[in-house]
Amino acid sequence: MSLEQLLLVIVAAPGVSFLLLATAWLLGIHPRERLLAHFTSAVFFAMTVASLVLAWNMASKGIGTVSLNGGPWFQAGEYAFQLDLVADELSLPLMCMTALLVGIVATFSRRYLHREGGFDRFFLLLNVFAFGSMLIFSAGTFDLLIGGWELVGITSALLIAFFSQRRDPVVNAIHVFSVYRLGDVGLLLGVFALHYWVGTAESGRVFHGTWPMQDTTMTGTGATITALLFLFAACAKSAQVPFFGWLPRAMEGPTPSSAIFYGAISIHAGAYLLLRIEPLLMASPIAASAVVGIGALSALLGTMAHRVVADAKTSIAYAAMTQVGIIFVEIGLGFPQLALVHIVGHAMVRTLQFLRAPSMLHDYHRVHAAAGGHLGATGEHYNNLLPEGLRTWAYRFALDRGFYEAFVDRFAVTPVMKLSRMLGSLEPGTRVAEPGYSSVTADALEETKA
Amino acid sequence: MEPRSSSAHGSSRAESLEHTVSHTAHMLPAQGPIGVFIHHNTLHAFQHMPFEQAVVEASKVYGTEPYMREEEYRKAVGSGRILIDDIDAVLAREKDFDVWPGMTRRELRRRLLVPGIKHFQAETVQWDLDEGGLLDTKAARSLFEVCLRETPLRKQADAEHRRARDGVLAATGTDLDTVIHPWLIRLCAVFTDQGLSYWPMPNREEGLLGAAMTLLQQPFCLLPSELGSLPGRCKEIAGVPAVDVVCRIFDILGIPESQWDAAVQTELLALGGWAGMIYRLQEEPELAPHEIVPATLMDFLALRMLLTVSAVDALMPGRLKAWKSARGTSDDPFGRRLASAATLFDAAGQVEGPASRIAALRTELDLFDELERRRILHIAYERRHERQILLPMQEHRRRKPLPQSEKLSAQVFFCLDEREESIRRHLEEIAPHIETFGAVGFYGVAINYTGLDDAHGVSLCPVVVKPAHAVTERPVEGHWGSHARRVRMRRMWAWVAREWSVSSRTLVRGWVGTTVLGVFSIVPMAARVFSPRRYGKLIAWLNASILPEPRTELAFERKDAEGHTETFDLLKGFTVEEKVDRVAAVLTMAGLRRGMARLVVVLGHGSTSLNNPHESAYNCGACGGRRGGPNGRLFAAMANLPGVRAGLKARGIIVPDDTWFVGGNHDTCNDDIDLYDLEAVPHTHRRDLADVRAALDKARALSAHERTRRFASTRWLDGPSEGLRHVQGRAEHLAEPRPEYGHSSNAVCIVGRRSSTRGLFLDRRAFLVSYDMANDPNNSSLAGLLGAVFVVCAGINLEYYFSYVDNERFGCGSKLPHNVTGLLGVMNGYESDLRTGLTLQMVEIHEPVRILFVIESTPERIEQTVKSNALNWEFLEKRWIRVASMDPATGVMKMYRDGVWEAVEGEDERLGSAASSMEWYAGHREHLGIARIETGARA
Repeated sequence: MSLEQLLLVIVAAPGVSFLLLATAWLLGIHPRERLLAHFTSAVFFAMTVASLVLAWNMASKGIGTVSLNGGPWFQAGEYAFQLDLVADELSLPLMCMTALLVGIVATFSRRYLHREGGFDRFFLLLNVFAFGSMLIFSAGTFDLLIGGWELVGITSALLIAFFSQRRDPVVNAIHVFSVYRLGDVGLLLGVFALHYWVGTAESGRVFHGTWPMQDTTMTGTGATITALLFLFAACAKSAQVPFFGWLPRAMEGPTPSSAIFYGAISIHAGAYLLLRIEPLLMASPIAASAVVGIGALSALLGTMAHRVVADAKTSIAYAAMTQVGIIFVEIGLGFPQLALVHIVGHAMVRTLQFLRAPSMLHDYHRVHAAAGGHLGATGEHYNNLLPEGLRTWAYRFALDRGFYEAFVDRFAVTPVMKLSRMLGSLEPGTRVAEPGYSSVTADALEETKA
Repeated sequence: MEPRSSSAHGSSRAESLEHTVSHTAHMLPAQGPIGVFIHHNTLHAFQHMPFEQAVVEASKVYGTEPYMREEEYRKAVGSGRILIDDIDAVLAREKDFDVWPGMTRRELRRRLLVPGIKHFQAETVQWDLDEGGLLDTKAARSLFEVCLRETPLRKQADAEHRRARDGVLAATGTDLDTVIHPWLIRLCAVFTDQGLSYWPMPNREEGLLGAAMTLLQQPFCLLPSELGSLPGRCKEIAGVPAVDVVCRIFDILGIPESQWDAAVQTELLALGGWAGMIYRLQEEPELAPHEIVPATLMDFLALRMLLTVSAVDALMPGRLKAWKSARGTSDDPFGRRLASAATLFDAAGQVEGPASRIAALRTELDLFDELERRRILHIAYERRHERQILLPMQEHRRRKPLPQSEKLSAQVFFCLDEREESIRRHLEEIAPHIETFGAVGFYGVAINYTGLDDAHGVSLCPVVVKPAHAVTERPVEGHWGSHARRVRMRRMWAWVAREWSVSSRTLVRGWVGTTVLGVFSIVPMAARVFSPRRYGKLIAWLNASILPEPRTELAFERKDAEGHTETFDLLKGFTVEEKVDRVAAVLTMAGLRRGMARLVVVLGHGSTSLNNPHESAYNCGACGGRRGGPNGRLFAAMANLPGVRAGLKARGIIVPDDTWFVGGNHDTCNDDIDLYDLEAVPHTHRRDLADVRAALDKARALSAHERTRRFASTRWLDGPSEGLRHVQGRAEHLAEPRPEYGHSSNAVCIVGRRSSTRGLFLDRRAFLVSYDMANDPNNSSLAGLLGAVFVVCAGINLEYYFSYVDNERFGCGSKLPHNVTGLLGVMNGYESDLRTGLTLQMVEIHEPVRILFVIESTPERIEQTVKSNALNWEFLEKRWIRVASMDPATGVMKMYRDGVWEAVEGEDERLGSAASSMEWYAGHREHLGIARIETGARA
């Protein structure tokens, strides 16, 4: 098997697995829990092994890039949607990591979700998610990357709303989905800008050379605008300023999905996007500064919010936001390899922390006892750093998560609702009908009323 | 702002409000911090009412289900779990007459129960009628019209809204709770936090209201539009005591004193989990595991009302009392009428009476509504259970007694816990010369215990008892050096673990940590997920080989002259006389009729699992939700003292000189058994010890195997050792929501001699308490036993009952979205009420029946003993438990029912029979009936 075919297998495997399972489901075949979970785990392990084989081959043979040209999916005028896959020094580590972590999470979930009503649904979505992530990391064109990006987004929302019989998960899933969609606008416009200025969205033609030694012909305004649009998308996906407030809301789903999405893969997708367009950032000091600024601000906000949070999952979520902020800074300052190492290390730490989140109670008690019944006070940094008058304000600011909710309420939700109500009032003749009764019972009702 | 009420008036108003709040507080969930989980009657606030009334009253207050749903009982009828006989028997207890010629009420009710009528709902009835095919024929349509005519339209009386949220919702469509709860939850969480957050809340010492107001009044903060007036409102009430704040806001919102009860109740229950936790911490501050916080329920209510009034400011500006008269449109009288008519129509079809009887049927149906049907079905459901237990037990007693081994090699005490039933039975099956006993698992020693690795002492006794004696574990002479090394190494480990868990989440240290060390997380993660048991073994091995393990002993001696220890108001250990009291009590109650064996093992129990905030709920209830090993160890050590033996002798309890006691602990999750202080066992008893250990090892493996039959994810395992390996893996698995099934399926408590139940397969569903009437001429032992046993067993049983029948509201729902908060409890997701009660995964195989006590004594003696204890009498008289007597001589059973002891007769449930426990349960996952295990008797 050639390396190109191997790449195709890695990316397509979870997609095919999803199609198989979904078709079976539609036909009314419900495989038993054990079979479904083993099948999914097996697919993910095959992916892991294949990714490692691919990485080994490329490293030992000194191949910098393996690309698969799948030809155009469809054409319209001069435009062609190319199905290209690329594995290089940037995407391979992330593909290996994704395959491995998804495999672990699938194995974990087989136990964890046993007898849960949404067992099948969870595993189907996990397959879609794995396929989406693989697409993001291996897409040779930004057009194709959008596909992966959307799949990850939609599975994310569906898994937050996993317990759909309760109100909160659904409300929060819709919130997260709305933020994602807003961010997607940036990605779409960014791709559009590439087509406009470069005439293509194939990363191999926008950028030259092999990662991380790439450069680009784009300069000036074009580079800045494009980079800023991508940054917009990256911020939404990676929970950075100004979109960070959705992150705690995403904790409604089952623990393993929190782990794989917001500890490991999805949260780093924005950082990956920035790493992919690194040459653009280098060509535009404005965009690079924006990345550094946003990253630094997010890291600061994240760490402040984290410090006051009193529940396990939200605490880990803000800790993740903090480190992703630092990763953004690293990217903006031009240390892509460092950022990549940071992403992988961080993903591993957070996945384990999320999976162990229910243990936080006993872990704390155990450490407390081993330390002899006394743990040093925490949080004194701020008490020493901040002047007294500012401390309480800073605590409030952190507790309110930088006033995110109030900000969204005042400047996004309320104006939009007002506008839509105004527009609604312009439309004549739309009234909600009174609850009516069908013919059979209406007569009888009339009769008895009289 | 409203004029302030005069201060002279104010104080009596304040008192009245205080009274209302403290009265209402009893309605709140009583669960404390989750690290110590105490099973209790979920409806403790309603315990003074009869059970059937209490569940209905509770459903009005909490919006909960009183029984299982009607369909579930129907399913039970379908599967034979309820027989027609049961329904007839229950209906026969009620008055009967002809409702119309040729139809008695009993007959009619039976038809309404079996096969039963369909229950229609207002929201969906229209669809059922249009699309459900009910009205396809002309005859059906005309019958339906008659039914509709007989069903009057009943508009719900416009009740006044009980709290502002309901009125505002009706008036504006905005749910106040969604506005204020995020604030309230977040503030309560940081206020009560026990160390999860890195930066503690400032000004906590001022109480919840004070600390929150300081934060809410900060300048330069952005508030959501609904809470814009919050800082202004805070200023108005600055410095006012919480109780006056509430009075004032009630005035502003137009809630007169006559409506305070309802208002306070609904406001507190809207976030009942948090309110309950605040109240628990107010009443018992020492329950907080690490930080004592000055929590008061009044502060909570004041904060809640403060947020509420601010939100009303924004949503109904200038009309702060208008919510009271706001009329909602949520009621749908037409839909309800239609649904009611459809139900009548369905009933008419079942009864097949003439159309002229529809009016009578309407009346009967209204009297026999869904609630009443469920009540009858539930009692029938329990009746079958009674017969499944009592008839086979009676039959067992009637038959020739199983022969007992003449030899008596050892005696083993277990906790009365129903989970110990299987291991006792297996032990007796494989080693007939070993006798077992069931006692209340703290073995009479109520202690405050500090283990070698513990920072401070914890109570090891039932929660109703306050321990007065401190016992500590200390290294024996010559082991202090290794103990010091152990402490040092543990401190070091704690430092590393703490640094890592804190620093991996902060900014700068987290950067270095995750970049450099992060990748190594993959090792424990992969190992824990793919090979949990081996990884657990590896960690245990590493611990054992690195950490020195000093030999230890318990410090529990006190000379009569010595007084209290300095730090706590506790007595250090026990005097000889106190020791003799405790040992004598347990030995007398158990009634060791056949004398004492050379070796007596006393086992406490606990449970170890991973990633499980509810771990404590699996521990020993009689030890206050903790592990009872130290109690067993202490009891044995006491009983071995020559001074105590002499004291026992003086009281007529002869412990032979060659009897040795050994304490131990049974882990009900991984089925490990640890025995303590084996170095002290005399050489002469080494053989006996080895024999008992071998038997216990076999028994725990068999018991583990029996447990695995219940786990739906587990295939039939070939042998006992596979079973043991399986449960060990479960205990070490990060992803396991069911490390064990805990008390799930508990249903019976048998207080009597083991010889009456020995050889019976009771399916791990029966608490077993050793009691011998012959040794208890004046019922004092029985009174002592029932005092503890009723509370502990009924508490467990009722908590399982309620968490099962309404898992979302009485229980805490599925474990999967749970999120540990403040080290105190769990929320769903990132911002919800604290969830109390049991998880779905804990109760899913439960059978919700009130516990059936079978007491081996005469009805008169039982009734007299129970009556002597007011709480116990309430349990029995108000039907929170069921009680049957078993005649010690004949084994004849009598069931207590409303003041009468009814004999239990019939042949409808027979005693099963099998050669071994495994033969009886092989291939079954469901609850199994009682069987007589014949080999259990082989000498």
